[in-house]
Amino acid sequence: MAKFSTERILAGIVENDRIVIQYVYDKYFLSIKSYVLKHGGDENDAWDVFQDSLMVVYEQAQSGDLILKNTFITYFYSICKYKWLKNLRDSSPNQHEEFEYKTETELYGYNKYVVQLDEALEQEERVRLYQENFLKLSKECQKLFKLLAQGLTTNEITEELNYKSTGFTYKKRRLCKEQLLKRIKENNDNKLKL
Amino acid sequence: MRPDIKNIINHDFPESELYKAISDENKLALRETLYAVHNKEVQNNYMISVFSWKVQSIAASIAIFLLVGASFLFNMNDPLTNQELFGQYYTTESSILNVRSGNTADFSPLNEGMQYFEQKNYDKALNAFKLDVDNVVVKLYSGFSYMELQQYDQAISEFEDIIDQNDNLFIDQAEWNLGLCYIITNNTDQAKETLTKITNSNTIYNIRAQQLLEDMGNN
Repeated sequence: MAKFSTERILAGIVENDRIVIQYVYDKYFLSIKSYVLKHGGDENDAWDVFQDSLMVVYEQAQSGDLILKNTFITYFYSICKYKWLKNLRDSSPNQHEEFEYKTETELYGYNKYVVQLDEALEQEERVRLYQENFLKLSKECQKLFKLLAQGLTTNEITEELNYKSTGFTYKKRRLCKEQLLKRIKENNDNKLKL
Repeated sequence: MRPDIKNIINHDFPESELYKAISDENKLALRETLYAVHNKEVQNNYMISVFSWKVQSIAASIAIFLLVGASFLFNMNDPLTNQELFGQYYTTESSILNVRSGNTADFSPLNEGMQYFEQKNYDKALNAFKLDVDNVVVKLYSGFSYMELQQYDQAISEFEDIIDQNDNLFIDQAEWNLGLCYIITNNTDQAKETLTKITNSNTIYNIRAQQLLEDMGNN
């Protein structure tokens, strides 16, 4: 497997370079999964941790805020671990006092990022819920939502999508939203069942 | 579950937040790439399990073929020595840093040691690391430094410490390199025990450990 430098990895994540993303996944996902499984999680949890952590790195790298003092693997692992321990703490605060999660990142020298991490990780979890379920919708619903997000009026959307009437557009919008909400709920229920 | 997540699941969220999330085209594209990569891996694993009986029967046939063939080769090829095995499987750990120089606020024994490690100045790296011996990353790179200096007993001690802590992200690397240290110091039984443990785990060193055990053979 080719080896990438920290700079190359960060650039690849920002640029959505499939080769770099594949590299990061191949190199790190199994270890992260192993850690989460060892600490009370399942495969879905591991995948969520991986995604949310990578998205936090993406946001930081894209904004130019991120200057890594150590290897990408060290930083990325510390975020993933922080994320999982935070999940455990959020789900049952009294039962996980033994996890000194802040100390871990302090030891690794990432104090500066600890304060930002809580907020960033919570935001990424929300964004993931919206985005991953949005991507499961039909292309038509996706297009409709994107036009709504752009601020188009119902008339404009009706014209853009070639619908027969604004009434139809309203109905379509309601159906698409119901589908999205249903998927979000089902996704969560499936995870709870595991 | 956090209240904000509960709200989303119970349909109580501002539409503006949804629209903001789906308007981020770059992030959506990145997520699609991630899914494509992950789903491909999941699919590969599924296909292997579905056809595992076929794989097993083919593997059994190949194994018999190889055993028959290997019996002819056994007297022609000497097994690799421990030194040769170590040479084949050991790779110098890289430490690619992005360090701000001349900024005293960023000083730490770890940072300083890593700089020396990067420069392949392993003695100085170890001197710097000595100021922060409880840091698990320091232990890991101390172990690598000792390996580069061929001081394998000290390296073994560092890796064993990491493994004993039992709750950190570097156990995989520590176990693999510990196995290599046991090999180069001719502690073959301990090497096999460590490598067998790795093959039973789900880590990135799993396959390499299997290959190394096979190459160790009757050593």
